[in-house]
Amino acid sequence: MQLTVRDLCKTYPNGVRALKRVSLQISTGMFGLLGPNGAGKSTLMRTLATLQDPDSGSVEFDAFDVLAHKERLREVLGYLPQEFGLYPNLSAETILDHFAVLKGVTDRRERAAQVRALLEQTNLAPAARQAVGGYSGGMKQRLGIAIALLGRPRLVIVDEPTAGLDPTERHRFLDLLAEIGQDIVVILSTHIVEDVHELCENFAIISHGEVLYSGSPTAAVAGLRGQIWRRMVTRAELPELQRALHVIATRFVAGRPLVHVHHPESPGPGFEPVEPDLEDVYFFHITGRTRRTP
Amino acid sequence: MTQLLSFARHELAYHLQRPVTYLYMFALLLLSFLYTATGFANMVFGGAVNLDAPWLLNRSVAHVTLIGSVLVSAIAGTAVLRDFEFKTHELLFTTRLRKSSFVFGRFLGAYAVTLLVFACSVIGLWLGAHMPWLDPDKLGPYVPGAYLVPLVFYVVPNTFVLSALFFAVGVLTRSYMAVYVQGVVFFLGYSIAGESLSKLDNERFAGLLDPFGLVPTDLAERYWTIVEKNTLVTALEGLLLYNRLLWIGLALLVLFAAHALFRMDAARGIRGRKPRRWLELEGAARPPAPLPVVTPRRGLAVDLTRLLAQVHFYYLGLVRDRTFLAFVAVGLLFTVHGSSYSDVLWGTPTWPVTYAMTDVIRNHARLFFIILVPLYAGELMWRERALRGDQLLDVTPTSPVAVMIARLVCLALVYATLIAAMIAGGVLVQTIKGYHHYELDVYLGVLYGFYWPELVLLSMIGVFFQIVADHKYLGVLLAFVYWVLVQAFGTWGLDHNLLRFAFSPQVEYSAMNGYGPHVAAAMWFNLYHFATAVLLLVLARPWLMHGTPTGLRDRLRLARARMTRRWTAALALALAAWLGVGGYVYWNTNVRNIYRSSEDEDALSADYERKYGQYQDLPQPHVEAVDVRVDIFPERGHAITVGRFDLVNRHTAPIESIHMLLPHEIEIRTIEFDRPATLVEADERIRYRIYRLAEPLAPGGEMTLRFDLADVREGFGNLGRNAGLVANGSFLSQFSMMPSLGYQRSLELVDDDRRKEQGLPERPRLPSIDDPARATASPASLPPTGSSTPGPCVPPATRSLSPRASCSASGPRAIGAASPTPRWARSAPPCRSSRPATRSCATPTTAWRSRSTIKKATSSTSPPWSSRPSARSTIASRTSAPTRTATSGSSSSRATRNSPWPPRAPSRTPRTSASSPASAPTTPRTSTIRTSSPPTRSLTSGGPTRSPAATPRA
Repeated sequence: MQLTVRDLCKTYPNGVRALKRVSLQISTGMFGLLGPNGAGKSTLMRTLATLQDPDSGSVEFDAFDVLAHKERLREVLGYLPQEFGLYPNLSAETILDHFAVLKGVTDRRERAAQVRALLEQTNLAPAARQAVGGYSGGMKQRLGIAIALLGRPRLVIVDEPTAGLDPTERHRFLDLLAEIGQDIVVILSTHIVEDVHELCENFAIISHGEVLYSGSPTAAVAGLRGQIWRRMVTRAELPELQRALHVIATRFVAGRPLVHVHHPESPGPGFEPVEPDLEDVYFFHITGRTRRTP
Repeated sequence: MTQLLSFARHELAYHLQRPVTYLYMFALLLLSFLYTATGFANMVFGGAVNLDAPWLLNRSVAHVTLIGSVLVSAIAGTAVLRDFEFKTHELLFTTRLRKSSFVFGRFLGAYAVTLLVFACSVIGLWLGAHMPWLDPDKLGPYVPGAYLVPLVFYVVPNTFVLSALFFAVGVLTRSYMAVYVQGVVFFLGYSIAGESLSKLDNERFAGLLDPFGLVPTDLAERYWTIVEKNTLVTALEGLLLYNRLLWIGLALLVLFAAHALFRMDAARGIRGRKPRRWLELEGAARPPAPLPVVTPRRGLAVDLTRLLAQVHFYYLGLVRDRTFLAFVAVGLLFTVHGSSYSDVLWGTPTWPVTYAMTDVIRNHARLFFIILVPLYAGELMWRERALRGDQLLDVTPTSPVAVMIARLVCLALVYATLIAAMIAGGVLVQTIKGYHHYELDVYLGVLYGFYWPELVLLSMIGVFFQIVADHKYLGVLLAFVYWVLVQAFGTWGLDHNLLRFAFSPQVEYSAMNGYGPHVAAAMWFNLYHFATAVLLLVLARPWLMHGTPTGLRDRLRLARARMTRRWTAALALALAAWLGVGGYVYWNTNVRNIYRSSEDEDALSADYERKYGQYQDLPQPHVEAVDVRVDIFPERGHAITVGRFDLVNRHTAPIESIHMLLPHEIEIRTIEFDRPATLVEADERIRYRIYRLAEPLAPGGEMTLRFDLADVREGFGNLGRNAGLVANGSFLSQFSMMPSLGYQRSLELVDDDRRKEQGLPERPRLPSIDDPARATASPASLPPTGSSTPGPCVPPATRSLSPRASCSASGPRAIGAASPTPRWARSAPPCRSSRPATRSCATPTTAWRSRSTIKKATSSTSPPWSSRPSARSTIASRTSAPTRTATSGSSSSRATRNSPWPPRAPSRTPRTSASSPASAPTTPRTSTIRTSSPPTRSLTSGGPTRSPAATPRA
């Protein structure tokens, strides 16, 4: 089972080029899509979820052309949009049951069992009969996840699913995804690096509609080993440093800026080597792009 | 103060940058423009009033503020709500903002926008009146302030009252739903109250109570002449002034009350109702368990299950909504209100029989549904998108077409439910009034069989507009405007039901003849309209919203991708069905039957006048005796008339030729005289014939005319089948079955505008009764009386003109049998607008016997080619029948044909109550009617006619 994305391009009527020749190979397991806000993640997700057509390029899933056979993909698709609303005066149970029918689970007993299990898994069972209009943001998000997992999806696309969740819920959700993600394709877009770090066997970094990196997190980290340096600096030094070196991140530690710099060898005195983590990888690619195209 | 102004400015700026504001402006502009540019205003206010008459402008503008009340609620009602929607209220209320600045600032801004929007109506009226295609005579002299007065007297106060009211509701409920519904409820409430208001004895009180100022204006100007209407400007004095002051005061009161009750807190609702407690559940640490495996299926059965589930889901979503309950309440109110007047006919109490109740429901609920149907179509088509749940739905394997069908079915069910509620209301009224013969089958048959399909068709067109517009309110507006335009088609000569969506001959139930002869025609027309709607929906299918395409390019690409072979096949099928059914209907209406538009009919009248008007004073013999044998085949609507006229020359000069006009739809089998005569002219178009007698008929001489005429039309016409020919109680008139002699001045066009259109000179007014020329004129020159208003459209004021009144007006002029009695009873007999005081038996016998009554009761005429019954003519077989008997009919047919929301095609089966002498529907039924002398002249006041003996022979 493999999802192949080739040369997707998309330009919006207002001139924004949301996707620029995006190509990805995604196989079973969790795939993380990491990128800043406005990177084109949601566009890519919506395109993969058959909600909108690209200007050019192709998407292939399991050896069929998705763009030409959208209905076929929809039969195996679970999708959770970034923002969504639900019928406020209906209960979670009713809504799940309805979506299960829409997804083709017409066997009453099967449907009831799955709805019950999903309510349990998303920890909504106690509130299953309450109108969703009264749900908190996190509960609504979990209900959305339950809807995405209804039926028997083989491709699950979740767009920033952990945004509104508290830490406990976030873990529960990621565990749930990991559980079902063992033998299907799960694409998870996020701007939280940790999500990817914890779960994904593969990931891609996307910014301004371009794929900057695609591969496994470990390989990505290994690729930067020995090239990341850090140093405490004064605020006055910062602009000069940013001009001279490839500063990938600046954060404050005890009120003083600590910079991470990418450099093949030691950039100078005072810098000490750091063991890179995924965040460094992410910032390296994001800042690297802006450096290339000032 | 600066805060207040800043809020007002902000509000104004917000609206001015929204396209929908310009849409509102455009809508009102267009509406007003069409009002004058098409001459529709003349239809409403009478042809003699100029299109720029101050009198007309005032009323038009005041009506626009009434119709536009829905827009006011959209603008002013939401002014405060937006802050809650965009969640800026928490930011705002935590600043140093003063409550008064916030509330009044927002109100001022919203009111300014409302004013701007409604000012467009005046511009529209002006533009429309000055269109080059209009007759310049329709414009009067320049009257200073003519266009300003309506703005100041009506637009400014009316929109202020409406804005204040709607704004207050918005402020206090903080609910979009309430705002959404209130405009509709207000509009409907006013139309209900308006009717009750007009029944108030105290006119001044009624004048004060009307928030739109229409009643006090009418009171002040009711005796104005045409010239005054054209030149005088309404003065702001007396009742109108008090009315305006009263309402502005009330509006201010409402505003201040809203201000006082408004609390700057985050809660919704009037008082600090507790904010809804968010549910939150403890996050118990539970290890993820494998989900049970399910097997999604596909196939036809699954698609069907899905469809049903969708229907069920949408239906529940709609009917559980409080809005729906409000609509049910309004529906019930309409029924109860309407029926509380329906059992009084010209002051005579009758029983609330079931078919009268169904009439009430149909006529009173029409306006309600016309507003509701486009709104609900928009609501349902945008259900997911409004909730932002569309992406969740669109990624399921449910086809968008199935979703659309589910929505349509749901709409159909919702209307069925509303109708059920109205039936319950009808039964309730009947019970309360002590009438227990409920006839549920009549309720169900009339309302579900013939009314509900119309609502379904309207829903389909509403959904079509939603797809095409791809904007909820634009779609609603388009559907609404389209629907209003279709109503007006008739006045522009486009009155073929094939061109008017959802129009069909109106089936009406009667105690005597059940559903009457129009059933088949109505069903064919409905089928045709259904095919039209399906075709339109198939055409719109590629543009059906699905997913998140952005921009036109995406939509086009999507549309192109959806034009698959399957779609083409569906389109071909739909087109074939449409053409097939349409062709069949056309064959019936235009080939098997005669169809003429009102223009064509006018042209015929004009040609008749131009060609044969010269014979106006030509002496013609009088009909002394009539012997007729009519074979009626009610199942097929056929009638074969074989008979004889005994003619006498009562003039002093010999008669050389006989002129006759023959009914258009009959087949002429024989026309022969007892003496040699040659047919010198046979005008097949007008069906005017001139026979020259070989030997002139000397004064006092007698002769006979024999004829065999057959009305054997098959199928149905545009207005259905001849409703006069039915199994139980046929209604025939001389003029639909026999020749009439001489030129008939009464068939000329009367309305000045229509005469002008046809290039005819102005018609001379009625000569003085002492005019010697008049005395010598042929009896044929009986002028119709009381026709100052153009036939089809009767303004509310004259709508209720009692048949008795018109009867006495023209009564004394009743003349003998050969006189040109108007031929209102062709295929489409009597009118809807006025009713006989008591419905009574209209068997051929009684119909004939009461002929002279009919003649007198009828005030305007239609020529034999007219399919239009005259608006105020009446079935007047006024033999006395008991009132308040269980079956005495009391159908309500208040609306006339071209009132803004008229009931449809007017052909109506005579509903009669007294049992028919010949009740067994045998075929053929033959009755022979003999009269030996012309009807008496004694009838002046519409009493029962005791005229010559009639001998029914079965």
